Amino acid sequence: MKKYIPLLLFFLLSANLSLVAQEKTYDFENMSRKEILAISYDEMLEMPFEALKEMAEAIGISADELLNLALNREVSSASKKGESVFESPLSTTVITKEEIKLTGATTYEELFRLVPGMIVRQESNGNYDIHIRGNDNLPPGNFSHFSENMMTLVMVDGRIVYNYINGGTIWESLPVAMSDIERIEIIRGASSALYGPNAVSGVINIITRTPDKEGAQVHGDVKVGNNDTYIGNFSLLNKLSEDFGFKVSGAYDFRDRFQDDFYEYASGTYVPADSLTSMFGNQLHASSPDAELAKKAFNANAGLFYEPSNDVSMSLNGGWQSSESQSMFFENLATPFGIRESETGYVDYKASAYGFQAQVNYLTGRQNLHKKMIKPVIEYDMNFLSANLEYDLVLNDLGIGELTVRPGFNYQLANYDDKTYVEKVDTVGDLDRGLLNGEKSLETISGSMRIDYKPISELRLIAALRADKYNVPDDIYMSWQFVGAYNINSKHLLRATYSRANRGSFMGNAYANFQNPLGANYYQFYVGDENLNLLTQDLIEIGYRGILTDYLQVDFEAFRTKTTDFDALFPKVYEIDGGITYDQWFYQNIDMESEQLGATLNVAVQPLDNLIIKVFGTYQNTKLTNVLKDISEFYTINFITGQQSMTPYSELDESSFEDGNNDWTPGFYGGAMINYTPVQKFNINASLYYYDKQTYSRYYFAYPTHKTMEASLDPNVILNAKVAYRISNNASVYLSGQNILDHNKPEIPYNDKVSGLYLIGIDFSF
Amino acid sequence: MKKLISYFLLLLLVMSITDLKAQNEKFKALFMYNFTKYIEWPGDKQSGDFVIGILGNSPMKKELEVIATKKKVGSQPIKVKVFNSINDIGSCHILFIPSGKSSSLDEVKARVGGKGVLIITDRPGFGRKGSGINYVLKGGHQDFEINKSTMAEQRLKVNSALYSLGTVIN
Repeated sequence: MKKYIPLLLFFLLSANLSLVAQEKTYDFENMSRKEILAISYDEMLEMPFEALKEMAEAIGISADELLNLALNREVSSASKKGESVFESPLSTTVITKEEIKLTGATTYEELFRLVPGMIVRQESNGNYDIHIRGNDNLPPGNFSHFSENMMTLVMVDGRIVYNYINGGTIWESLPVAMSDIERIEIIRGASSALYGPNAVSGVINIITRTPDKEGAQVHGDVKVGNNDTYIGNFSLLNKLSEDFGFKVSGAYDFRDRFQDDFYEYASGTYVPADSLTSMFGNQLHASSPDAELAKKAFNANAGLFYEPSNDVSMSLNGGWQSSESQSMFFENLATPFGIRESETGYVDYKASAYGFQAQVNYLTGRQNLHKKMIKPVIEYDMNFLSANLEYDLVLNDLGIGELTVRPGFNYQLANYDDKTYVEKVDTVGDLDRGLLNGEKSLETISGSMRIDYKPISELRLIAALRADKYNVPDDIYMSWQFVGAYNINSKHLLRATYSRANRGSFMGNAYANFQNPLGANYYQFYVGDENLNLLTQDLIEIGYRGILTDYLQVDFEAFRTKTTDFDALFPKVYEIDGGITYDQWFYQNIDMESEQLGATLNVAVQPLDNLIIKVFGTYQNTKLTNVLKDISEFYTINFITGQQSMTPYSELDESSFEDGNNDWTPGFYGGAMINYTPVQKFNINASLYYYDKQTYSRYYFAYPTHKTMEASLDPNVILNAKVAYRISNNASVYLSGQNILDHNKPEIPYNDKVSGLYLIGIDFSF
Repeated sequence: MKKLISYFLLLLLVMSITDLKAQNEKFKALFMYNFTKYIEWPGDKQSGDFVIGILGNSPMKKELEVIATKKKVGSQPIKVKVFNSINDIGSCHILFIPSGKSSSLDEVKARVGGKGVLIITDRPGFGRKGSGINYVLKGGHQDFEINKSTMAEQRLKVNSALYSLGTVIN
């Protein structure tokens, strides 16, 4: 009862004050949410507009709008046309800048733990491998880099940012400040026809802010945590006039690992960096690596925006980044981890005029994926050019409904050259010590056509067709996408997709040419193949989205995929010449096929005005056929002579293969997020991520032969949380934690044991 | 575990007592009323009822009806009308297109273009697509965009003070 007395008094007081509302000024900043909400409607009607806006700002976003945002955000990637997520005909999730702030995520990858259908594993402090719907570590039992995600199209503002060595993404090298992110759009499922090569498992597009308001807007965030973690980022945007604006942004991220020793395959234990030895007994490092380093990354960016009229707009962005991380990326035969280093710069020009949309960007720089390692040299200068032109032909006047036809043209050229760095290294005879040993190019010329048709307002049909002509392999790949979405009414949407997509062509797979002396008389070669077929996936998907009540929204998707033309690095030539063994491994297409069957459910519920709960999970099974039982299947040892012989992949008989499941994709994975605002100035956010048991397998050499090694991970829960207190309208202080249950286990076998990361920080916005 | 659940339920109960209703529709309606203070409609629309039209069903109807009972625009009484389809759209001063009907904007413009109607949308990106005012959420609170050229096309005179309160789109 007592609590109603102040409310009653407050009500009486505000009723009195409403009589003199015209003269009244409001200090919303120092009023509690309850006090603000107690302001009477009549008083609000009399308020000057400025005060009403301040009041709206002080109250902030209400939970029902948050819920609306949870499923019903604007998305431009989904079908390459601006629309809300609710209307999106594809499996789409959008992470907004508000969510980024609420959750306290320190990297983009952590945010993907809030996305249905994504598998996120931390390798070392702040370094992750992420997958959309799995198909990870295929084929099983191969080298480290086959466990990396190489089939997702990752972009920043529509600019491709995955690397052309293997199609993986060096996340810490993305030149984006977290505070400059407007939203991140994720599309699950094969989508090459709409977006281009490598959109096999899906698309991730990080979209940065554009200046939209006159006057300077500053956003920033600084935090410190254990393991010498220092993270900061800021952005300044200013619209100087109605048609011209600019922005600058920058970020840094320094972290140490949770441990300073490394798993050594040969001994099966964690050992100091300096003593790391490969499975063949060779020393790994040329000079002592920084054993504690997890991540060291900076970036700085600037952009100009010009919009002379409603029909014409253009932007020019550019930036530079420097980064190093110690994580799992490329095989080195000793330990999963290596230091990868990137120094790159980019320019990105976009223009849109009278239905035409053009984007041209160029990236140049240097990367070293095996820093301080003796071999192989995977350090190269690189540049990448991409040009894209599309035109929207709107044919709504034909009287057959809404029809848009979008023809498009795209050109991509990637050049990687490791000559300078290979020449610095001592050579042994004529052996090539680099991965590429020269300048290599990959070129793709593409044409596309998209038809977006709404015969009636409830039904939307999209057909997209794309042809990509690669220089390597010298072939044309067709991809397509047929999508239908039917709005039963404004609260229920059914959708279906059939699509085919293919992986891009990459340097390692096509051009690798590394000749590795493993002993005085034993050489192992790793060789690419310029004629490899590109991995291709067919997808059938159905989905339903529904606003079941004002407080409950659901999003369901079921998918079936079939993936063929995997490639693997398998032995092909084994010869002994003059007492020297040449064991040659080639990238080869294999007969293995993967069939995924799965379903994802995402439920967002708002039981209270100030509480929102989102729960999501994916059940899936990945069936593999024609999987090589074990790497040892290639080798036969003659016990009389002691000689080893090898049977090439194409000559192995059926008994070497089996059908099974991909045990590295968890059978169930998902998570939950709860956001609670008990009082106006406090916000509590907790997110949980769960994955089921997984079994990882990889290549292993045990004298005298090669075989497959395996390790399992038990089901695991990762809990992140952030508690923020708003000290003013412009700033909040917070405590946040990643993995606060401190599970202290590797999330990928042989990687670092992941400890809790606890941070204190301040974010500001004015 | 049971204890935890009972604490959680208790927490839910306590919070539901202090449950505070969603504010955004209220703010959108109040913003709409405030827009009328900064906009001058063509002479032929300055007498009779001030009609606020809504395309289809929207919770805004209830909020606007509350305002209509309490306020006038100048000397004009406010009347809230729901138009079930584009063909039903009759004479009005403001036409609100709820989020779910946003795709009708082009057809609505074709019907009321140049007729002194303030078209208000409620969907990100629609300010640029040619509504007069578009509700947006900015920095976690209710805000709006105003499209200068559309306002001129609709023969609406806007007091420049309104431009400084929202985000101006050319």
